[in-house]
Amino acid sequence: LAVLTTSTLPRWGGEILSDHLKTEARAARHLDLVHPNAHLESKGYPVPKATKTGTTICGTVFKDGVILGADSRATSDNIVAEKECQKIYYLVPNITCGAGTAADMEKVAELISSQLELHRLNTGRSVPVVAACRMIKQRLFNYQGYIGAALIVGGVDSTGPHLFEIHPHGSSQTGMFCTMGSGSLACMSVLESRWKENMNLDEAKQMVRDAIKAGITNDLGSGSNVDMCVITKDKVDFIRPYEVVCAKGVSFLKKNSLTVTPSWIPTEVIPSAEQKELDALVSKCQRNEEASRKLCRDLKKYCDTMSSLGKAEVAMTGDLSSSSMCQNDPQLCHLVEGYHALAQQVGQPRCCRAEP
Amino acid sequence: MSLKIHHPVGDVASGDGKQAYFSPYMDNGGSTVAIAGEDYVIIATDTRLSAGFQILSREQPKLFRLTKSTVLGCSGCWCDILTLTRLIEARIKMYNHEHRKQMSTGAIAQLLTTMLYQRRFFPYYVSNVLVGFDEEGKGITYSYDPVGHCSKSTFVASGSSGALLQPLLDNQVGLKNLEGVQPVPVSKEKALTLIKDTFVSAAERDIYTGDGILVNIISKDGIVEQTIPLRHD
Repeated sequence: LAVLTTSTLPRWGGEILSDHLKTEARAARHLDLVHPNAHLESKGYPVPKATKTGTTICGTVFKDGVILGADSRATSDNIVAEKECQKIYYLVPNITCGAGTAADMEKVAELISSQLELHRLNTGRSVPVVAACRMIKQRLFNYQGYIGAALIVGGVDSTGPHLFEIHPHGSSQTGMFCTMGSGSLACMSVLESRWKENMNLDEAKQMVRDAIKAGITNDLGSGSNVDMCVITKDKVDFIRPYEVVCAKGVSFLKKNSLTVTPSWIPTEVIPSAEQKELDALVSKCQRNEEASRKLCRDLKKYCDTMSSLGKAEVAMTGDLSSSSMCQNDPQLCHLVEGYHALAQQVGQPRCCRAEP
Repeated sequence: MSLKIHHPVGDVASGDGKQAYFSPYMDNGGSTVAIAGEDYVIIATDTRLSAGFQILSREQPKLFRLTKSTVLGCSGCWCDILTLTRLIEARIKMYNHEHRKQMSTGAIAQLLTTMLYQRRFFPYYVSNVLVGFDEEGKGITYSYDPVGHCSKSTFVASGSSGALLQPLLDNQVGLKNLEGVQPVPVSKEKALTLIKDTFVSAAERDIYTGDGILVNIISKDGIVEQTIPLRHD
């Protein structure tokens, strides 16, 4: 059962729900999940908490194109979920920045990117920025604000540079500069005081960097780095990170002993190299002992078999000498008796002293 | 025990007709860490005061010296913190005049419990950590919940990033979940480095902790202060 993730799911009573549904059903087309959601909630399954990005993003038009800037912190309530998250998404030659719920942002960007690519193939020309804006806001309006994505769409097309800001309910505005997110007020204060027409690249980059930095330092929902994207007619420059505003704190311990077991007092200290040698020697000795034991057993077996062979020879020659064949042939008899005597002689003094 | 904080005004932008709602509490953030040793106690708090996503101050320490050898670290609702510390300081002065001696740490701990429980049905939204020395002169830490439950220990982390820091202290000071270690008492220098590092880690992951730390190192000779900067974002 799919559940729409959003930061604000209103809590309604039974009657109000149906009224609201009626008005919504008239306006929207995609609210088949509102009723199931409400039912789930009433049964005690609240909407799962989504990661909001609590962001600062801004965009500005300059002489040759558009610059978009963003911070890189994703929060989940008061915990930083990600310190280097990417908030600037690629569409076509147009790029969006995203604020709001992280999952919503990603999905919107992916979907619109593929739709724009289809548009480009269908029309056979490069996509205008207004097309992206319109697709996004129509989608967001369909979901009546439940998709918590607030974005800035910026790009350069055949008619020049364009910048749009789109709110989660589906309204959009155009302008020369805009900011969104929880740090938008801090960011806007910088842009309002320093923006002017036809800035060159360096001025504009510095201004965007200062604006995002204001959001990072003064807003708790934004932090870490400034990412920037410069879009001109010819190319797209994705600078990530443009600047690390707040680096990770340095540990005060000399060794990184927060990840290592603290030092303890051992009973006998053997340096590890010697210990290794010792271990190798011990294992070698053990192997040798095993081998010699095996050898002794085999040797014993050999001796036993040899002695039983000797006995068998003696018995065989004895039988042969006392047989009728031997009686009839004196030469054979002589040979067999000689062999018999020899066998007896050989068989006697053998004794295997095979002791381990 | 924890008190839920509601935003003072309903969310208007979502378009649903929420009734107007006033909450007397506000969470101004802050974290406290304290480690007690054989003859010293170290307590530290961060210096950031916040309201929602905004920063109210980057240099507001949250440590209050109650006597020469007892310090209280508070986090939570700033207005409640101010009132509570004023009242406690007044009560300590009264005790000094009545009994003609300094109030011991244990006595202050008991006083704080009583004061907090007297407001059981409209509590002070404050997480307290009281540090000092016990009768034998060993360092001691008391940590409180908002209605006055007190627990005595040798190390504690409390406040908005308390849940992030307490496991770290359990591992490094309490030597939990470590193999083959001898229980060596923590030295003052090691405790100080540990406290600084725990705050550096907390500032990475908790948005309400940052800007700086104020450390109070309390021993027989008095209280030494140190400030260390943290991330500003």
